[in-house]
Amino acid sequence: MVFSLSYVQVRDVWKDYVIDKIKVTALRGVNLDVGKGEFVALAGPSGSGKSTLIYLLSGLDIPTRGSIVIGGVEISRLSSSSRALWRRRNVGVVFQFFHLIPTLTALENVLLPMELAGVPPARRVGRALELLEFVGLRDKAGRYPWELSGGEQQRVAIARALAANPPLILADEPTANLDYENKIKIVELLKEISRMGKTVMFATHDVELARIADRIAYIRDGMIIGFEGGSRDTR
Amino acid sequence: MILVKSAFRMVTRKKLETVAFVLVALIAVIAPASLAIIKDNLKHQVYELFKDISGDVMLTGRIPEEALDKLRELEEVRRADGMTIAFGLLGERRVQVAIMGNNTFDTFLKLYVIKEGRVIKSSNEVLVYRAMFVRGPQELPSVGEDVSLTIISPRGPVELKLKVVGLATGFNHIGPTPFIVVIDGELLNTIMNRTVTAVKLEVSGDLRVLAMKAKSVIEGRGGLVTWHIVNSRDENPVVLIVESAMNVMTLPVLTFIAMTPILSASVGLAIVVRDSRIVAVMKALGVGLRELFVTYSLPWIVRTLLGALLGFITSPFIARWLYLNYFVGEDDISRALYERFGFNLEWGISAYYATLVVGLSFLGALIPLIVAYRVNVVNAISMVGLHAYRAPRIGWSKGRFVILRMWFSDMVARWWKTLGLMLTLGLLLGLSSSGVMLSLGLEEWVGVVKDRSLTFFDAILIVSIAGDWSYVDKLSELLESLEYVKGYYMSIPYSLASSIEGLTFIELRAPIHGDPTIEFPLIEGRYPDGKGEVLVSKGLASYKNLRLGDVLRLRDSFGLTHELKVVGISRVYHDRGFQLLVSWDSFKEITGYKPSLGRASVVKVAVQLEDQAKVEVLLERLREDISTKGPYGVDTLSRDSIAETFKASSTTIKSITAIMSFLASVAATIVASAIVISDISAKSREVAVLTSLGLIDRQVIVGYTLQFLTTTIASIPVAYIVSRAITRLLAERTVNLTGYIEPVTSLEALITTITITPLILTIIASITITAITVRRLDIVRALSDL
Repeated sequence: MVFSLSYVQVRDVWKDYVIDKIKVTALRGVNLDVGKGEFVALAGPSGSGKSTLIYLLSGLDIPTRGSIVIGGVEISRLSSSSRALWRRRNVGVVFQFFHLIPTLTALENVLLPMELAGVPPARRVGRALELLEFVGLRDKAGRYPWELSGGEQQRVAIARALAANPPLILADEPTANLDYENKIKIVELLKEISRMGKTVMFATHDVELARIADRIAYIRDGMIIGFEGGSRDTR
Repeated sequence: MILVKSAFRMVTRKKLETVAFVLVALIAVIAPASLAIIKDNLKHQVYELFKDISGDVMLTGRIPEEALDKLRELEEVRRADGMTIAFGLLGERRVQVAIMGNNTFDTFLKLYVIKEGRVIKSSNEVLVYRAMFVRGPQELPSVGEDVSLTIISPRGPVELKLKVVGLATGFNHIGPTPFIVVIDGELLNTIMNRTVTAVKLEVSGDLRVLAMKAKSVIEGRGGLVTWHIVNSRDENPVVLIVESAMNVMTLPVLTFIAMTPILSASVGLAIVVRDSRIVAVMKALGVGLRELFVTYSLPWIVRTLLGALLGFITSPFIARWLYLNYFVGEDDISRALYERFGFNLEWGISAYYATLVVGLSFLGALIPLIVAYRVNVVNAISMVGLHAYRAPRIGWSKGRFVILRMWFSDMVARWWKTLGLMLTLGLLLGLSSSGVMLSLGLEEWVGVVKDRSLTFFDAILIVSIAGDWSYVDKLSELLESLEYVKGYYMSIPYSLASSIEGLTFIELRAPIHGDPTIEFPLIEGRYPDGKGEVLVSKGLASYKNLRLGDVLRLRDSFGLTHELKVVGISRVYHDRGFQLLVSWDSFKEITGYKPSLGRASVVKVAVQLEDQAKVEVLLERLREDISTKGPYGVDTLSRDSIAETFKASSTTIKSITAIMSFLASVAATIVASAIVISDISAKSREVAVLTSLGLIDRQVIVGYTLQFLTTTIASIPVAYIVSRAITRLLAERTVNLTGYIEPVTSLEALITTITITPLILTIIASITITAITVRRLDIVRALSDL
């Protein structure tokens, strides 16, 4: 597959953290281009900088140096609140520990981003139920997070990420806490989402799982050390 | 040991929580302890000052020299000092005064300050002393002024012309007048024919029994006892008044102490719930209750201990500073008191409050411990995601208001935060409302005093008569002849100290002439006409829970109990309502009343004037008409001035409440902020996830603001319960200051400037601190932290 235009452009991105007065450099001059609709895996061991890159791409954090342009918007230059507003319609994030809001049901967790993005109220419940149907959990819409299994929670989290119909889905180790069967289910879902035309990037330390993606960016010690193309059929 | 070290490390590392706890404990100790220390010192000083004048027992009348010698021989009597105190009328206005020789004055009034001029040096000079804080005329003659002084002597009134050379002030006063006129001792002795009119006894044993014995000795030797008082530390009437006045401050500040267990329980719970997985791991490793206590309760106790220790050390010194600068009123008197009595730092009181605060904080810290102990290991360890607790099922969201629902569900799910804030804000609002409820009661009272359809007198006249009983009848005839006097009620007063438990002076009244409805309008029952019957005020009836037919027991200064049947309840709206109207027979039996010797008879006259638009003018005319028609001294107390006195009390209570509420709002802000900060810290990852979904800081702050406002509304019932409880207690404990006032315990009392301002200040300050905390939240760290 050839992508003529980069939807995500990461240019010479550095990220330093200061932990207990010690400077730790998490990313060292990362360059990355991801096309629209591409399904990319960020593969690397723990502490390699995958999560940091996901946080920067989602606008939750800003680079110490370098630029990140997504969909033509240089998010690294936006203020904290502008990034939050941008995030509402442009990114859906899936976390390793699912992070569903405990005081809301599965349905409400999916409704929440729609309310934030200003989706007309009349369309919200229908769409939320469609998304729960898509992840196979329509019958559990009224359940609270603690009443769902880990795999089910992660599927609700994916539905939540899709709720505001964002063009970019970022997932940080979405399968790390799941058994094999659920891991495959989740990655399949992500792949299906990319087939819907959305750009999907997920971080994983599992190289085998990464191979399901269209392209793998290998990351180590805060640097992208190589790419690998091609996709493996999971069926 | 490792866990103990970890607990202490937590105290030093989590500086914000430590500072909050130390401050709250500090305020919770300092506020009540410093006031209690001042109260204790004042009570001691008042007692000692009172003792200067009256000793342990004081009897007045005519004390023969032989009786004095006999009294000195009694085994229980350590010392018996006879003195000549006369009564008389001073100046053109004929103000009633006590009169002492200069030698007696120096001996008995050990604490006074000369404000102007000097002491007397010759027999034609006079020093005029006026006691502070005692009701009565305020005007003093000027230094250098020539004044006339009528002394009531055994041989009749004696008139002197004297020059005022000095003006003095202090706390003590003699009898019903705030004035003491000091003249040459030898001159007074000559006028009084060397009659000893009072004896001060220092004794051991039962004071009341000894008073009775002394009375028998005096009367057995031809003497006469007209009045007596026993001065026991626990029943001293002036000490009771000081106690009442200080209770306005000391009772509400107890709410400060109540905030400490709320803080340790609420913040402790937030942390235990956040750490439930860690608790589960600890329990899985075999950790028991003791270790959980060290980890989840000890840090709070150590922090409170630090604050309480600081409070314990500083409270006595803060009390002394407050006492010296704010409590006595006048600098020179304050210094004189300090020099005379010193200031007892009362470490015991400070230690008591410090221990109470630590103890309550300990109890609060046990709640997180119980929750930690009950953590289900399997559930907690297998739990993934954010749900460290279970959310309530609220089924009203259908696609709208999901964010709003989230914030409200959060309040129910994190009940420890909501409850902590609710109790804190409830205590704050309750404290300020209690003072308002009490002052509203006073204002309602003022309203009734001003309402001529409910109370009928225009003024109360206190008439001192320097003559025999025939002048009482002449006064009555005079009042009936004055066309501008519509009606009057004349009665004779007699003060009984501490005759009803918990109450200071009670004024017994016996009828002389006139219409009793003018001063004592009946609410129910009738006026007493037989022996053993009494009419009480509504306030006293409420305070003592008396109904018609009930028996009121009075104990006189000799320890004898007199039983009086309540036959009537009246609306008495002056002088705290401590007047008991009894028949002449009862009056004589209880007081042993005999026409006084060497002392003016005092009668009280409630008058109703024809033209109520000209009360002040007519009162001045009445005063002049009476004082020119005989040996009368007249002091007037108008209906308006009575209303003003209660209004002033209401304003004072409001001012004190405002200051207390402001202090409480500081404590409440610290408590509320600490609760919210610990909540934000405990759910930082949840906030981070919300941020990842596009929620901006402002929306998070609005969410917390909504929670604050909802909690404030929810705290109203708490505030109402707290304020009612404090107000009832205040009404009972301030009875000697204002009389028993039925507080206005309506909900409207919760919404006044005094109550709302500290609440708003607390909410604004807490939301500001919340906003700063939210803005400083490290989203990435919260998400990365495993």
